[in-house]
Parts: sequence; C-alpha cells; structure tokens
Amino acid sequence: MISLRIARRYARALAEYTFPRQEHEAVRNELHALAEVFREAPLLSDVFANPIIPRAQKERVLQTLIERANVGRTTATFLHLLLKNYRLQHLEAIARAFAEEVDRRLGIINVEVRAARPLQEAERRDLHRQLERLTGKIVRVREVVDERLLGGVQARLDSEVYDGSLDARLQTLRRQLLL
Amino acid sequence: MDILLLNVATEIGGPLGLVGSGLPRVVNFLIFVAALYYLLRKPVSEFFRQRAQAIARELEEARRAREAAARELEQTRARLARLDEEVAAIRARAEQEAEAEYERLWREAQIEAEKIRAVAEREIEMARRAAELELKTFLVERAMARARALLRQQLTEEDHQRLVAQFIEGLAEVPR
Repeated sequence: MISLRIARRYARALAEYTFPRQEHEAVRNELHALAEVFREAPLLSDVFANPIIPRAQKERVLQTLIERANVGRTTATFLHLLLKNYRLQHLEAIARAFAEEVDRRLGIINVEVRAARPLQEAERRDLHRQLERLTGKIVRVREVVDERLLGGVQARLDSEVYDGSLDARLQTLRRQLLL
Repeated sequence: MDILLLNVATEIGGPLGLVGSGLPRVVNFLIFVAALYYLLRKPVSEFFRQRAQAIARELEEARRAREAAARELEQTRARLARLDEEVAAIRARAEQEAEAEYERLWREAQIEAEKIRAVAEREIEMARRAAELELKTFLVERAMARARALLRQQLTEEDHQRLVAQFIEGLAEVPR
C-alpha cells in the first residue's frame, strides 16, 4: 500500500505540470477512468507490482492500455513515469490524490450529503448555497440516500460532520438519559 | 610420756627404792629431762604456735562466714519483706501492659473492621450502580428501539421536509 504522502507528492508534481497548460481536468478524467480499470481488474496491479515480469513486457501492457483508453500525451507520459518508478500499481491512490489536489487548487470542496430520502430540488439548492456560504468554496455535493437513517440530513466535509439527522437527535437523547 | 616416766621410775628403783637409790639417779633423770626439753622446745613451741595461728585463722574465717551468712540472712529477710511489694508492682505492671495491649488490639480491630466495612460499602455501591446502569441501559435501549420503530412508521413526508429545512436553517446559523 502506497503511503498517502507519496501519492500526494506525485499528485502535486502532476498538478504543477498540468495547471499552466490547462490540462488538469482532462488528465484527472483520464486518470480516473484508468483507475476504474485497475479497480475492476486487480490483475493489472499484480502485473505491474510483480518484479519477475520484465520491464519491457510491462511497457507493452501499459502501451496497450494507453491506446485503448485513448489518453492524452501528458497522461501517457505520467503513466510511463510511474511504471519507471515502480508506482504504477498504485494508480488508484495517485489518481485520487490528484483529483483532491485539483479540487484544492480550484477551491472546490467535496461534501457528502446523506439523507433518508432523496432531496427535493429546492432543498438541494438551499443546502448547496448554505454549504458554499459556510465553506467559502465551490461545493461539489455527492448525495447519498441512506435508508438506515430515520430522517434528516448529514453533511460530511473532509473531517467535519454536520449531523441534522433524527438518528443524531435520538443518540443525544440516549446519552442524556444514560447520564 | 607415761612409758618414759615408768622407765625412769624403774631406773631409779620405783617408789619403794627411791629413798635408797641415791642422788646420781636423780641427776641423771634431771639431765634427761633437760635434754628432752632442749631438743623438743622449739618444735613443740612451733607446732603450738602454728596450731594457734591455724585456729585463729579458722576462727577468723568462721567469724567472717558467720557475718556473711548474717548479712545474707538480713538481705534475704529484707528481700522477703519487699517481695510482696515487688509482686504487687509486677502484677500492677502486668495489668497495665495487658490493659494497653487490650486497648491496642481493640483499636486495631476497630480500624480493621472500619476498613472492611468501607470496602464492603464501596463494593455494594459499585454493584448497585452497575445494576442501576444495566437496568437504565436496558430501559433506554428498549425505549430507543421503540422510538425508532414508531418514527420509522409514523414519519411523514412533511416531517422529512421539516427536518431538512431545520438542518439548512441550522447551517445558516453556523459562523464561517
């Protein structure tokens, strides 16, 4: 397992390269797509992590991937660099770190919103507006319907959680009763 | 001495022949006595002197022994006279010590009993609290489960909307 620190170092280096060229969005999407491929085919990671398989053979596999995914030159060069540095098997972590780095540089914050039932459009809009006011950043909301919740909403911003669920109120009540 | 005198008497002719034996026999006898005196005077005198000294020494030792015995007797009498006091003192001291020991043991026993009582009380209190908490937890969990079931059953769409609206309003009050 690659450490988060190493993944972030690659992510920052790639961001340094792609932002001036306005390629960050394209590279992020391409890395995301390739990370999906790695996730669905764990054998790929095993191949690139295996020290017995010759480098030339891994190069051929990577070239095939690049051609099939039809990625840009920057992404292809980055993938070759990862292969050369024996980090390609950690592509998922590096792609995730790059996406976070891009968001950070663009002032975007990802918020996971959990609700007992899908939010109505007006609710979604109001919530989005309040989250942007609260964070002072562009908010990207990922909405999750969690049927375990009784009612209400939970919003998770990085390490912070704003819990407006009925479950949280019941938990508070439970703690008070047990005191 | 009796044999010697008899011999001398015989030599001078006995009581019947004394008057008729003559002066040489008497002189002879006197010379014999004088020689005897001369020869035996010193040893006999020394013997009696030593004997007298020994007797005197023995007498002195006897006197000392008597005095020592008298002193010992006196001391013994005095000790015997004090014996009752000593016995009384020993008894009093023993009683005092026994009383002190009894007090000490009593205090220690009381302290120990107090400790045991405190520990027992703490344990009882802990057990009571644990039982109380267990019961409370059981009741609260039951109440929570019942509340969850009721809420899931009875929560309407309006309730959901109100909860979401409350959350958004709450966020609006959170400072940036």
